[in-house]
Amino acid sequence: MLIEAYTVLAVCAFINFAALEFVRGPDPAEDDEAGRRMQKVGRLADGGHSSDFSWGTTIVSCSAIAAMSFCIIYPFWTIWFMNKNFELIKSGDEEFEAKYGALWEGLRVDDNTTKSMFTYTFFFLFRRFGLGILTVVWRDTLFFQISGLIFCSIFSMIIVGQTAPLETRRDNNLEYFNEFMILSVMYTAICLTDFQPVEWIRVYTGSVMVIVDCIHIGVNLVLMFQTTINVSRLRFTRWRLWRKYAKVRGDRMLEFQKKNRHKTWVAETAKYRNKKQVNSKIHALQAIQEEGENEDIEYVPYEHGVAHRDHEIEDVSLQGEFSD
Amino acid sequence: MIPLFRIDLPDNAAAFFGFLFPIAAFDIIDTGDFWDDTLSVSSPDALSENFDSVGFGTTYFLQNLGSMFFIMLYFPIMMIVGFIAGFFHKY
Repeated sequence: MLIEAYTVLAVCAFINFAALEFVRGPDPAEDDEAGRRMQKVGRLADGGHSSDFSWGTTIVSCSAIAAMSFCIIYPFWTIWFMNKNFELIKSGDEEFEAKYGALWEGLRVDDNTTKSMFTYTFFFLFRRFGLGILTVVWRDTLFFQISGLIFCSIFSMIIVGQTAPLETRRDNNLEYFNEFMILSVMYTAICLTDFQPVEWIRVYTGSVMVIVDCIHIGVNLVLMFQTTINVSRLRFTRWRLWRKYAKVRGDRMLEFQKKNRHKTWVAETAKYRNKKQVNSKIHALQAIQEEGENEDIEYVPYEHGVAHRDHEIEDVSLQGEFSD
Repeated sequence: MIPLFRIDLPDNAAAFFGFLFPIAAFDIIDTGDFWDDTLSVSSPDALSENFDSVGFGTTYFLQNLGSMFFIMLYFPIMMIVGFIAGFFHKY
């Protein structure tokens, strides 16, 4: 989820950063106007609202700086971490995957996996960071905005084409399709600049942009639902077969029980009888031992299931055992 | 993110992207007033009309992030809980 939210996080941080300015609080030692500007401790406030300075603005600004630091570090940390643990990732260590698997979720991990495939993850994150730069930092430079996104899409297509990083061929093709649709939208966006001044063409271009986006979202939704429906259908088939054979198994079990009802009853009765017999023998032997009437008696512990005089050995544990 | 570009977006496309953005941004609940009241700040205006149209109505980070901030709190909270649980597990 963090990876998906990365775009909004980066843009929000960039917006706050664009309006951020460092001001200094009042210095009691210097009472004049110039002294108020030259302060000892720097504080943070938002641009153009320095008069509204408060700890609230400082908290907001500090959180923006923290988010910006995270956004800068995260793509580089990701690729460093994945390169460092390349062998572990490749080996498919379950414990490691449970902890950090979200980083390479959807990527093809097998014997043919190479480190170059991780450039996809890096670029996936870095282009979102770049989107923050394009939309906020270069918000007055239209050329960089459009060409930047076009180049990002082209690079992404090259990476997908060269490394085929995703698990299935369908995923890789879908990624191609997504990049192609983004490229189409960006080429349409060129017609919404001063390059094309006719108003009614702009309206039609807007409609084309909406249609392209609808196709893009629609295809992704259809494929997503198709996957969900396929998985659900497979699960239902498995459940139906399980139910079907459960009934067969149940019938067989019932038949078996009916057939062996007598044997079972005999076995249970024999077990009960043996237990009772052993207990009574133990009690009898204990009584004899206590009285000391017969010193030849050998007491055998109960775990052997045997209690006997030395001349009459009786393995009661085997009596009444039933095996099919 | 198309509306954030410096293109002259027609109304039909602007309305469409304006509708899509809150869904893409996971912004379920409006938390702007909550942050303004809690931090005792008055949110400044957006960087431009384009930013305002897609939901970045101010320059403040927390206000713009909206409800996603609370969803993202899950990770540091779970890290703290895991650290505390690990600490007590030793003893």
